[in-house]
Amino acid sequence: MKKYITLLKRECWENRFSFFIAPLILAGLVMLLATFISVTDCGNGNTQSEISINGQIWDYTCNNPSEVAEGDEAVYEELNLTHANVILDSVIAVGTLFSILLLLIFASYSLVCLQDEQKNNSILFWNSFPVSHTEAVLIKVFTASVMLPAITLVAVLMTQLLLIVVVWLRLMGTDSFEHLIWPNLRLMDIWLSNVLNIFVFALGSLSTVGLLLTISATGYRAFILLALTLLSLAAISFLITGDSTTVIRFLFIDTLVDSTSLLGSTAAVNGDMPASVFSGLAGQAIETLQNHSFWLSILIGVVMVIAAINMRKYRSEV
Amino acid sequence: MINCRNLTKTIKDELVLDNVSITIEPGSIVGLVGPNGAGKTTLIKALVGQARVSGEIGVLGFDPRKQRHQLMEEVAYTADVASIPGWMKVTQVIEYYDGIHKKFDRNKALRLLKDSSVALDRKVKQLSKGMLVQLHLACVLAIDVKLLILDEPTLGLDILYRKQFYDQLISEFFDETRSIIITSHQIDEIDRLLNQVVFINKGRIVLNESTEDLVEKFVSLFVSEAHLEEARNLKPLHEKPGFGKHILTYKDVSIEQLEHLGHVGIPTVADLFVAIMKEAG
Repeated sequence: MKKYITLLKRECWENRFSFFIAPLILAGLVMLLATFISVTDCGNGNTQSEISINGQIWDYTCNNPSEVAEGDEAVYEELNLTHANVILDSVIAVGTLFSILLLLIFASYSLVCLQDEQKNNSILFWNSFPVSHTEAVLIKVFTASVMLPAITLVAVLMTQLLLIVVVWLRLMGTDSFEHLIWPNLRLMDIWLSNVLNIFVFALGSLSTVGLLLTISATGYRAFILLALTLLSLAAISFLITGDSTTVIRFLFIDTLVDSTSLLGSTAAVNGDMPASVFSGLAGQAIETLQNHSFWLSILIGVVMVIAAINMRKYRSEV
Repeated sequence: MINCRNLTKTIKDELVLDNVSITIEPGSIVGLVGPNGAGKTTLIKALVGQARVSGEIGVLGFDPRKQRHQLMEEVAYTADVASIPGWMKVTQVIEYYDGIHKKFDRNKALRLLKDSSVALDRKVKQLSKGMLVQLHLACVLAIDVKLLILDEPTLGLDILYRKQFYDQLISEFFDETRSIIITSHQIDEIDRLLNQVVFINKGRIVLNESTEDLVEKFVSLFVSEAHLEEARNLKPLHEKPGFGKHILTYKDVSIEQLEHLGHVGIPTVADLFVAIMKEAG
């Protein structure tokens, strides 16, 4: 076990910036944004935070909804529920932001990690250790498919907690947070669903990580640049047209993006607060697990990982 | 410990290893010597499973081509080029060895590094070439393995550290159950350590003898002009001028045949290398 922990540590040392510093920067930006918005939005005439109850317009973000609602219990509760919904939306949106970062790091890591080993004769050093090619590649699969999402999840949880602290500080002195917003946030549901989402993401990412690792193991910069260019073009085309090629759809959209709601889901926050946030966020993953093509993609992923192992072996021997 | 038969390797139609057969017993310190491009590094890479070769190959009972990672539990190896990644910190290199090699002695590595100029808080890319070699050698010497393979280990080191290194190699690592294979261009520095000498040229082993047998088979003659022609008639392997005389190196010529011609001595490994390489063409 010590050996595998050390191999994982190596990945963390080598990719310190993308694994740890980049999420920290993103968390900092989110907090900066959250603090700025929460300080300035109440009473600033922002119609986004206004709702109509019984024909009357209310701003649910103002510090003391009980005062705003002028003692009307029903309106007071409605305002707080709306506010809780928006906060929940923001909390889940944090996950979406981090997941986009996760996808970028996931793709760039998978595409260059085995090529990096071959730079400056480093492969002679790595291969002088009692680590098989299979172990070396599987550690990278584990890093991309499990460790990276897990690090992202921790970063998401920490940022979500900090975001809630900011909300709590903003609403301090009122009973809204304690009695209505906090109980409706369903944080346990969000976190538990994310654990399931990561599990499904790890399985779903196998075909993608296998393909990218095989390209990376060739060590040919031209292949890697070509793959990077094609992926970028496909991503840009997808963002502009909302459409994608079959291959990209299979590799990225179906297996990574659509397999779970790890990359953000509005299912839980559309309209009224759902009865169960867990089923809203994890339903997609559960549905994916029942899909035959998902299991086919895992099989293809296993084949691609075996190809990556053999390519690493071939390329590291003279 | 090592048993190879008919190792052959071709790169781009060029024979890099040509039917190489070699046996190394436990307790050997083997000097693998050859000119640039002779096949030394390829042979070493074959021994540690980093080269595709044909033929039979057994190292400590393992086939390096199929069992590299099991073999590397018992073998420590340094390449002839700086291979430790520049992004690593010295402490991370030590931690990595400690985490992966079950037989790595962290305290020993730190003790060896204490005597060197390597600062633990530095990144590898910040180290000089000499420091980098010191770091790598301290790490491999701290592994309790049966076979140590050092490909040009002291390249880039100053003479003081080179001497210190070879002294450490004997005192810290070597015993009769272990073996060391060293390739070096500095033959003069290693010849006193060796008990087996292997010369390789153009992918072929041209000499593979224990140092005891070398003494019996090869002899040097310091001869003056007066006896030079007579000495040449005995077909020396090599001839060079020295100290106002001529130094001739012979194989399988008895001392009795030579001693009346001049002063007879034991050739150095360096002299033998030059003689045999010239003979091999």
